[in-house]
Amino acid sequence: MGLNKKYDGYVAYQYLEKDKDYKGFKYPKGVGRVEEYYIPLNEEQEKRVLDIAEKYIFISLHEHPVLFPEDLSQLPEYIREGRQPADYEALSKSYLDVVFDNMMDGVCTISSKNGWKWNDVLHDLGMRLCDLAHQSMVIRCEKVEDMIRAHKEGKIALVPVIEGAAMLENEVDRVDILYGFGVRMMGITYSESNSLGSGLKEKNDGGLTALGYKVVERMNKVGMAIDCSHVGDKTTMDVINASTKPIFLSHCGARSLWNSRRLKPDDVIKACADKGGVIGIEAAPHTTLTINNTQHSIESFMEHFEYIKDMVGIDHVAFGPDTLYGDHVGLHRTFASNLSIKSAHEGSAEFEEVEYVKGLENPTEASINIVRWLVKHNYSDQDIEKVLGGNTIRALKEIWV
Amino acid sequence: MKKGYKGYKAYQYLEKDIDYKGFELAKEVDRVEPYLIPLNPEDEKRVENIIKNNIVISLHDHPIITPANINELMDYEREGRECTAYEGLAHSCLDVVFDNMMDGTCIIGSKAGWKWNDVIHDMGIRSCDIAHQDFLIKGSDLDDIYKAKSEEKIAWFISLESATMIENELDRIDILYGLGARMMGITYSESNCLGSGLKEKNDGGLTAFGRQAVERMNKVGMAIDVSHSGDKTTMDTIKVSSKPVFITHIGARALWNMKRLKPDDVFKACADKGGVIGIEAAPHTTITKKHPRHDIESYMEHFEYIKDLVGIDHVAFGPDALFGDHVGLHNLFSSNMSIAENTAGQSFDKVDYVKGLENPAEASHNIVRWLVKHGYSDEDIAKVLGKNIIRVLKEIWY
Repeated sequence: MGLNKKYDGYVAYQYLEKDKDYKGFKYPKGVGRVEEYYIPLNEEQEKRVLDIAEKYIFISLHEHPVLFPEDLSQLPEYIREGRQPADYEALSKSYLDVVFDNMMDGVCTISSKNGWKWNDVLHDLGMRLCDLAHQSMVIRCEKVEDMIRAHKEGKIALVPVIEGAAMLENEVDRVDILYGFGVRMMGITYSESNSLGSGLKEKNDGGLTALGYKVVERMNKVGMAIDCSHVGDKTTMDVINASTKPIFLSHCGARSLWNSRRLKPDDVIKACADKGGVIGIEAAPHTTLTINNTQHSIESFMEHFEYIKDMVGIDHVAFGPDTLYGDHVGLHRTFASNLSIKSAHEGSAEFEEVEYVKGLENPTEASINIVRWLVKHNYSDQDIEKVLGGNTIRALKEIWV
Repeated sequence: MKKGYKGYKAYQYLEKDIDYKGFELAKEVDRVEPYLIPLNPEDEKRVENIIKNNIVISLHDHPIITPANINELMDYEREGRECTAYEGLAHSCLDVVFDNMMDGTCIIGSKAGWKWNDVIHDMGIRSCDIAHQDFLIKGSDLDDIYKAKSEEKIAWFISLESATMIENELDRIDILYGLGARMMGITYSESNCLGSGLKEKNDGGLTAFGRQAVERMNKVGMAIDVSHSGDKTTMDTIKVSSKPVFITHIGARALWNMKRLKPDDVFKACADKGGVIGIEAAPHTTITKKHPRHDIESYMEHFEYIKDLVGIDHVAFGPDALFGDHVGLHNLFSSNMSIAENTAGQSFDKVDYVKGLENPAEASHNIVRWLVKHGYSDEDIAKVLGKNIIRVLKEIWY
């Protein structure tokens, strides 16, 4: 049931009265904001795509399936309102059965300028889950069985994820608290360092801190998956060594193809796979570029996919496009400092700035084109099943207790 | 024993005394001499069938275990890991429990309690533990109740006894709902931004903010409890709410004159609005002149008085019991919980525990036994054990 989602017509926060109970914003269309692009296929391939979308569980390891305002000058006000609207209708048109929702992450500036405050993260989490509780198509994913159920029933299982652990401060018990509220994956750091370890933007990476080791141990015990996508190289290696369970690089690419800090070197990717982990490929604007494709698109994205697949094997790759519904490039411009965009995006060569990533503009388009690309390039059913969901489920069965 | 229980102990996913400070806990079963109302074989059979065929709900309990040495309670609460009494609950006949969490003892990071961060901490830690076993199902809707009943498990719902921690932030109602709370009190015994608590000399009624909060709770689908609110604030809440409200744990002031119990006009207003009144059994609350020593007989006198006043469709049970020394806890938290102001009234015999209602499990059994012994019909018993509450929740929840 990858197709025909049981969308009930619900629009985010409709249990309240807009502009009375909360400030409303004008949103662009989740799908169709810019010209849609779907990889052209022949008739037989089209049939195979639908068959695959129906048959296999498709998991996005990393996404922000919410709408951002049409007028980006309203961004700070929109964030301070603390009510990001999930685009349920757009999600219903995707091929996704499971979405790892990474919430506000670096834009979580509800009550602070620099973000990542404990209260703000809980606000974001609680508010989104409250909205979720008022509709029926998207269910909360707490166990692998919820993924299977969603696929079977034409629903989408949403896994709340927190992209960096800065809000733990020095409180290990907050791991339990977040797990109690449904969080099933957490990043060790965002691009900036925190009390657990070094972020990818740092010139020097001090590795996992004493507290970081304790948090990794607690995450293993509690059964919370670990993500090192935004973590510095040494800290990432320390996490892989310290963790008793596989870890994820939920949204990244290969630094060998494009020399930017935001992407990972081969040895880190290999270490992650050796531990049984899974690497999800990133599609946020201006990340997974290559020398062959200096204009970011599904082609450069898939070049990263194939490079990493060839290096670590088909059992350790997946997709975490990290897209959203709205102007992602504009968002990066507005939040450049909070998101450490400059240090994350410095790359191998000059690249052509795009207005959006063709073929991967939003979670819906990305999910459809990933399947189309794999079919077009003659991947076997078995391999497609693995990269869409099988690999992630295998790792989660070890991690989620 | 409920078959859904497989032996899980609180926080066993961690290592005690490495990951958290462990305490020697009170016995979950038979801490004091157990008391079951004696019945003849025919009534025993009836009790068995009633439990099997009906949904049994406690509208208000604290199903956690206190330390064996009650003087360790303050340290225990500051550790922020109240231990759910899974085994104790397995000995109950409950299908659903509204767990009112730390309430006035929520002093994890403050002396006076009720801080936003502490309430969240309490909810998150308890929910995390519950996510590591499958006997208690974290409840969010009515389906969870039916599922628990059919699987011999217990649906566990988070209630917050007061809204103090929302401070002046309406959106925190949505947030708490999103994190799993399905019922919230307007005030505890002390006043807050929403209205006056029952301890106050003067009750200013529901505040402007309180009115907004009631409206938001209605929209979000969060049930309202006014057990600890002052009389005027309670009446205002009943009027303002577009949905029925609960008085989850209470008794009749007409039977025992103290602030912690409610006057007849409040009960009538609650019932007229379609609400349900749960009977309270915390030590030294539901006493009567006829039974000045608190036990199941005085408790049931309150039940019958309120039932006669408002009708069988509007009464239920919210014993407000816990596993451990409740009287000792009251002594330690007397100031935080305004115990002196609450219970000021006629003189009464102090008890060490409430015979027949000592903990949530014993209370659940004796309530059914008492109703059977006193010849209540199957239909009436079904109503007061669960049906009345489910009727109201259908109106309130999404």
